[in-house]
Amino acid sequence: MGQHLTATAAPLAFSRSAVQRRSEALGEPAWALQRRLKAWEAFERLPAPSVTHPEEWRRTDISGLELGMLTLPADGPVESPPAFFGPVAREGAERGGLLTFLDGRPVVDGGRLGEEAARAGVLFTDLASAVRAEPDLVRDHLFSLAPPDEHRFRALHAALYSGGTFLYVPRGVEVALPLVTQAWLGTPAGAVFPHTLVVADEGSAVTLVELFGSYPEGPRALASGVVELFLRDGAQVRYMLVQEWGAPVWEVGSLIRARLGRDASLRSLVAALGGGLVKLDVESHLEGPGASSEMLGLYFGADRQHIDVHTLQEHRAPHTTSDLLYRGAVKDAARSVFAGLIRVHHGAQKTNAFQANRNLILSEGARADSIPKLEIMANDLRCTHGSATSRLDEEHIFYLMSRGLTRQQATFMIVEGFFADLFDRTPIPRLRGYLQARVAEKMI
Amino acid sequence: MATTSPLGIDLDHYKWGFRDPERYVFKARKGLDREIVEEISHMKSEPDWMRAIRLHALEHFLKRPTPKWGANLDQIDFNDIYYYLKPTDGKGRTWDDVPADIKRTFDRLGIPEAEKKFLAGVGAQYESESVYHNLKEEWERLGVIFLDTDSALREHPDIVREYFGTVVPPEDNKLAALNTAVWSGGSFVYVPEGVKVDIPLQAYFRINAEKAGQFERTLIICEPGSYVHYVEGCTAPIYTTDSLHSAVVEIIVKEGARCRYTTIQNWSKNVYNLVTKRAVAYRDATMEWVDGNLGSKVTMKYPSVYMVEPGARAEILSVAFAGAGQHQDPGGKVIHAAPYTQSSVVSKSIAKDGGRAGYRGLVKVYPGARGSRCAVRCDALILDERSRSDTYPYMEIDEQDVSITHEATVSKVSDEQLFYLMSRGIKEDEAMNMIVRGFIEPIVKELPLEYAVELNRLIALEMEGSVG
Amino acid sequence: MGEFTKVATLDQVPPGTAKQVVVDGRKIAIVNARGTVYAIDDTCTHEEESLAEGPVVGEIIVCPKHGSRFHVPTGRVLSLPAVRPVNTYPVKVVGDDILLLPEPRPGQGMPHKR
Repeated sequence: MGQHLTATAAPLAFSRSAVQRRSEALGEPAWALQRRLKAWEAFERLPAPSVTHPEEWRRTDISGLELGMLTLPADGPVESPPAFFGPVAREGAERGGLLTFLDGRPVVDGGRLGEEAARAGVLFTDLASAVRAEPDLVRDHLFSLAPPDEHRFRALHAALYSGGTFLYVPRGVEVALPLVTQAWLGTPAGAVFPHTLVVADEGSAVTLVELFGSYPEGPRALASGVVELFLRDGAQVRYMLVQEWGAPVWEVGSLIRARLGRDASLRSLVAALGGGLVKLDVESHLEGPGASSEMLGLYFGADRQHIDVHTLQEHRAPHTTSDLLYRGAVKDAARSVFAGLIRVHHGAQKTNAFQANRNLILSEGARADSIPKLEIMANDLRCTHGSATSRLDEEHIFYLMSRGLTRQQATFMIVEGFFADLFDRTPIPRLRGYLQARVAEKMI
Repeated sequence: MATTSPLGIDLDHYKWGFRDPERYVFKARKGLDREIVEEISHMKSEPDWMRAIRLHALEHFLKRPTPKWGANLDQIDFNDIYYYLKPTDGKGRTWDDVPADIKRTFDRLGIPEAEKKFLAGVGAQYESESVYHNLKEEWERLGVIFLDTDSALREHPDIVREYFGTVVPPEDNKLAALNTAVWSGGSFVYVPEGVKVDIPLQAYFRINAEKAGQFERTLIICEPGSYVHYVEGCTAPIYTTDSLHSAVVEIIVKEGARCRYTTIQNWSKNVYNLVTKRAVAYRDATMEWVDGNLGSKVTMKYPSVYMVEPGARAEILSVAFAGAGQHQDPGGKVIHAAPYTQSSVVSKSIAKDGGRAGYRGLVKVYPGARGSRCAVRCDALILDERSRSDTYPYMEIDEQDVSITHEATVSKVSDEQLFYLMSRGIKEDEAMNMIVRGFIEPIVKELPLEYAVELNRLIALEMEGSVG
Repeated sequence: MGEFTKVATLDQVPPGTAKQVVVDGRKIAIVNARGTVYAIDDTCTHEEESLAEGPVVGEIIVCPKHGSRFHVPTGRVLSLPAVRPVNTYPVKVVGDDILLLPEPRPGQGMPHKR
C-alpha cells in the first residue's frame, strides 16, 4: 500500500476546513456547501484507485502522486492579462463570447458574452457566479450526471471544484458564434478542479470550445476536471476540448459526460496533447430516441507522457447513433491507452454504433494499448468496431524523400496525414490550424 | 538429496501429512482439503514430486480469490464437489436417469447405442474399436506416445516431469491451481522429431478406463519438425451431473513443428466449463487452436499461443453458440515475444433465446518483436432481442514495427437475406438455419469431416423453433 | 563504468530467501540459493511484480503473481507465463558484505531449451 494516497489522514492542503473556506470565499449558498461536505466525506471514505483495482485504473500508475505536496490556489477574481492561448482566444469575428480563468479564478475583464446572445437569454459565466445568481438551474443539474461517489477523485473534485464554465442556452435559441473558455494553471504544484456545466434547452444550438494549459516546467501539479453536458430534446451542441497541460501536470480522474435527449445531437472533439500523465473518461449517454453523438479524439504522447482515455457509448433508447474515432500517436518513451466501450441496452433497437481506434507508434520504446469493447443486448442494430496499430511506413517515407523532402518533413507529412480526417472534421478553421501547429510542435 | 521438484517446490515441506498411506482405504467424499489431495496421489501411486506439486497447488488455490471478471462464478460451491472417484465407483446412474432432451439429441445425431450409454455416463466402458488398435500399433512404430496422463506418469515419468507445469504453472490462476491439485486423466501426447501423424489423434478413441474427466490434464509435446492434430471432445452432448469441469492443457511446439488442437465442447447445460489452454511455439513452429463451444452453462476459455522465437505462427478459430441460460465467454490470446511472428484470430459467436456469447482476447507484442503481424476478426450474430453479445479485445503493443488490426461486427440476420432465400421457396426456419450455417462456415470447414457434419446437425437442432 | 558496491549484508539474506535492493534506480533481487548469493532483475518479465517477494527453492525463484519460474544463476526462464529471461548481475561476498556490480548481463535460456 502506498503511503501517499492511501493515508487516511488528509493532506494539509486538502481538509474539511479547506472545503468550508472555499465555499465561503465563493459566497456560496448553504446547499452548495452541504454538497461539498458530503463529497468530502466520500473522499475520506473511498479507497484510492490503483493498478490492482479497479480494472479501469490497471494501466495507469498514479502511486507517484502525492496529494500532500500540492497546494490549493486562493479563490476570488483575479486581475491578470489573459491571452494565454494566443490566436485561438484572441478577440475576433469567430467568437461569440470568452471566459478566462487563472488557477480556477475568473479573470476580471477576461471576456464576455456577445450582446445578441445575452439578449436571447443565454447565460455564459463562471460557475461560481452561476451558483449565486441562478441557484435553481445550477442546483438541479450540477453533479446529477457525475455523482461524487463514483470514485475518490470524483469526490475530491466535488468537494473542491472551482472555476469552470456555466453555459445555459434557452429553448430554441441558436448561438451562431462559438463560445470560448480558456483556463491556465500558473501556481507551482497547484491543484485545480475545473467544472463545466452546459445545459442546452430544447431545440437550442451552441458551440463551446475549452482550452486548458499550464506552466511548462516545475513541480508536479494536479488537474481533475468534470464536464457535464445536458442536451435536451432536439438540442445541438458542439463541444471541443483542447488540453495542453505542461509536463508537470497530472490530469487524474477527469470526466466529460453528456446526456442526450430525443433527437439531440452532440459533436465532440477532445484533443489530449499535454500533461505528464492523463487519465480521462469521455462518455455519451444516448437516452432519447433519435439522439446521435459524434465522438472524435486526438492524442499525442511524447517523451515520457502517459495518456489513458476511456470512452463509453451508452445506447439506452432506440434509433440512436454514435460514431467514435480516436486517433493517437506515441513517440519516444510515451505510452497511450485507449479503452472504448459500446453498450447497447435491451430495447435500444435500430441502433447504429461505430467505434474506431487508430494508433501510430513513432519510436522504439513507445507503447500503445487498445481495448475496443462491445456489450450488445439488442439484436436489430448495426455495430462495428475496429482498431489498428502500425508504425511509420518506411516505403512511404522513402517515396517522399525521393521527391526531395527531408526525412523529418516526410515524417511530419505522414503524421499530418494520419490525423487529417480529424482536422477535417474540426469545425472552426482557426482551431484546426491551431491543432495542426500543436501536432507539428510535438513532432520536433 | 532430491528435495526439490522441477517446479521449485520443496518436497520436505510436503511430506505425508495425515496417515500411514499403506493402511489406507479410499472413501469418496465431497470437499477439498489436504487429505483428499494426498488420497488422490496415493490412489494413483504417484512419485513424491507429483504429490508435492499437488499439495503446493492446493495451498495456492485456497489462498487465491475467485476471479471477478468474465462470467459470474459465485454460484460454484467448491466444497460441494467430489474431487476424485475411483474408476470402479459405479455411480449407480441408469439410462432412465438421463434427461429426455439429451436422449433426443443422441437420436437426432445418429449416435450408436453403445456410444450413447458411454456418453451419458451409464453402463460399461465404451468398447474401443479395432480400428483404434491398428492405429495404435502404427503410432507405436513411429515412437508416438498417446496415453492418458495417469498412465504416462507411470510409464514415462521423466518426460512428464520435464514438461508438467512449465506452460501453465500451478500459480497461474485459481482454476489452474485447482486442476493441478486434483487432476485425473486427460491425454499425454509425445511426437518424436520429424514424425508426422496423418490421422487425427482423438481422445474419443482413447477413453478406455477413466470417465470423461472433470479435471483433465493434457500435455502435448511436438519435437522439432513433427506434426500432430489432436481432437478433443465430440459433438454429442456429454451428460454429467458434475457441475464443474476445469481442465488444463499444455502444449510445446518445438522448431518447425506444427500442432493443431480441435475441440468441440458440448457439455450438458448445468456445467461450469473453466479451462486453461496454452501453447508455446518455438522458431518457425505453428500452433492452431480450433475451438467450438456449444454446451455448458458457463464457459470461460481463452486458448493462447506464446510465440517465443522468430517465425512462430498462431491461428485461433473460435465458434460459440449460446442459447437459453448459457454464457459463452471464449476467446484467445496471442503473445508476440519474438520478431517476425504472425497470428490470426477469427471468432464467430451466436446468441439466442436470452443467451450471452462473445469474445475476450489479448494481443500482446513485446518490445523487440519487430515485423510481427496480427489480425483479429470477430463477428457476432444476435438472433433475438433478449440475447447479448460481448466483445472484449485487449491489445498491448510495445513495439513500433508491427501491424495489428482488429475488426468486429455485431449484426442480426438481415431481412434482405431472409427475404431473398424465402423468395426462392425456402421456408423461414430453413433459411435462418442456412444463414447461421454460412456465418460459421469459415470455421466448420477447418473441422474433420465427421465433426463438421455433426456440428451442422447440432446447430440445426439448436436453431429449431428460433423462428416465430 | 560502475564498480562493486555494497548492497546488503549476508545476515539480511539467509539461504532460501531473496531481498530487493535498488541500485542506480534499478530494482534488483539479491538471492541466496543454498548459500550462494546471486543477483537478478527483481521485476518479473511477465507482469510488474517483485520476484524477491516469491519463494526461493534450490536455484529456482518463483514469481508470486502467476508462477513464472527463473533459474537464478543464469536468469533462464523455466516456466511460462514469462517468456523472457531476467538479467543477472555480478556479485561477490566480502566478509559479511554482499557487493554488486550494477551492470546487467542478459539472462539466457527458455523453458524447454537451454
